[in-house]
Amino acid sequence: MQEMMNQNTLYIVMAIILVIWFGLGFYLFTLDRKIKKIEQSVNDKLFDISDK
Amino acid sequence: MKAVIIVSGVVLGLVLGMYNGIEKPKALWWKFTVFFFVILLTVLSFLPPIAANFATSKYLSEALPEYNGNVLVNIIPSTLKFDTASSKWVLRIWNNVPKYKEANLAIYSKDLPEEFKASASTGRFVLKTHFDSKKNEFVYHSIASINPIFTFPVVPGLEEQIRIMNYHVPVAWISVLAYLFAMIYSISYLRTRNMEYDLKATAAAEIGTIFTILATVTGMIWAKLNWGSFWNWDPRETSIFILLLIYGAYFALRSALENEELKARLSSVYSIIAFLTVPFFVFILPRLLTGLHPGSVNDNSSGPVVSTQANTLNFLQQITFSLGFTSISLIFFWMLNIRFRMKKLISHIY
Repeated sequence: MQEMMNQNTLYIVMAIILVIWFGLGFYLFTLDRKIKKIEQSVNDKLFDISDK
Repeated sequence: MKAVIIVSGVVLGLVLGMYNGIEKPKALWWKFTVFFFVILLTVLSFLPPIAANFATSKYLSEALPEYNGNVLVNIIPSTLKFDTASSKWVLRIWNNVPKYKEANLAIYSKDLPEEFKASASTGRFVLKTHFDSKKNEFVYHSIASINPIFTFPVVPGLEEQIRIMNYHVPVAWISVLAYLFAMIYSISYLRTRNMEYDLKATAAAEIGTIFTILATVTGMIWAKLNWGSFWNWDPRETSIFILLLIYGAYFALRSALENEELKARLSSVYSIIAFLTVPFFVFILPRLLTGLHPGSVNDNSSGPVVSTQANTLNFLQQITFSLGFTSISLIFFWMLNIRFRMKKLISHIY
């Protein structure tokens, strides 16, 4: 295991960066979706007020 | 060709990033495209081994006595023979440099490594070697990679650190772009007095500052590796520090004012004036003074990116570098989109 780690340091670095990208990507995806939901509900409420 | 590839990466990032504007939620395909570019950038930045051609390796071996670096070689198995007088294996190797096409490889070992035996592979290797100018041969040390599909070039002085360039330079570029957007939206605000432009301008300035800090931190790590210490007060380091102070004052100004209208108006004017300093600090000043970054006046080359010598970066390195601009631009536009929509929601609530 240690030998494998020493020989392929670069690929391990790459794997770690990929994990970080996947984590950040997932976060951005969910954040975007949540904001979309809030935007929709805010828009609905604004229309409610203008209707009344 | 190099300039065309790099500029097209920048333009692709801008066009794809601005697609459908920054107000509306981005489409799912757009988000997956961003993800695809980022993953491709990371894989292309880290998978290829670094390998020099014969000329670079010879030059480095003569300049640095302890040098032992990667060279891309193609072996000719039929030329393999054992030299009993000096008990070494000798092998003819070749590469694609026109003036320096063939050379000898000496393996000082009784047992030939398995990989060199005929039919073991197609004969393409990245080897750790140094050049012995007295005997006019490359001396084998170890195998770094077998049959690499792609390789990155060795830029003397950079070696493995060249991979940082694919991130550090685009991040620094995006900080300039973000501040430019902040200025454009500020001008639009002053023309129309539409509060949405103020929200866009602050979102751009916030993300610009994040990217400036990222450029500084990645630069500090790179500086430790190449120049020996994290901070050297090189002109570019000094100028990015002043830039951070200038934009720090922008946020201080905003937080000091209560009236929304006044806040928007004053900070728009400040943002326009602040951006006027950016081209001087980023593009002009570091090229007029002596410093450590490539392109300083005491640097006898303009660095591998701006250099007019086409072969300082190979095709793959140019593509990856250009992909860096595209992916980081796309991340910037996604962040700008989310930040603006959040600010708009907050302005609706309060």
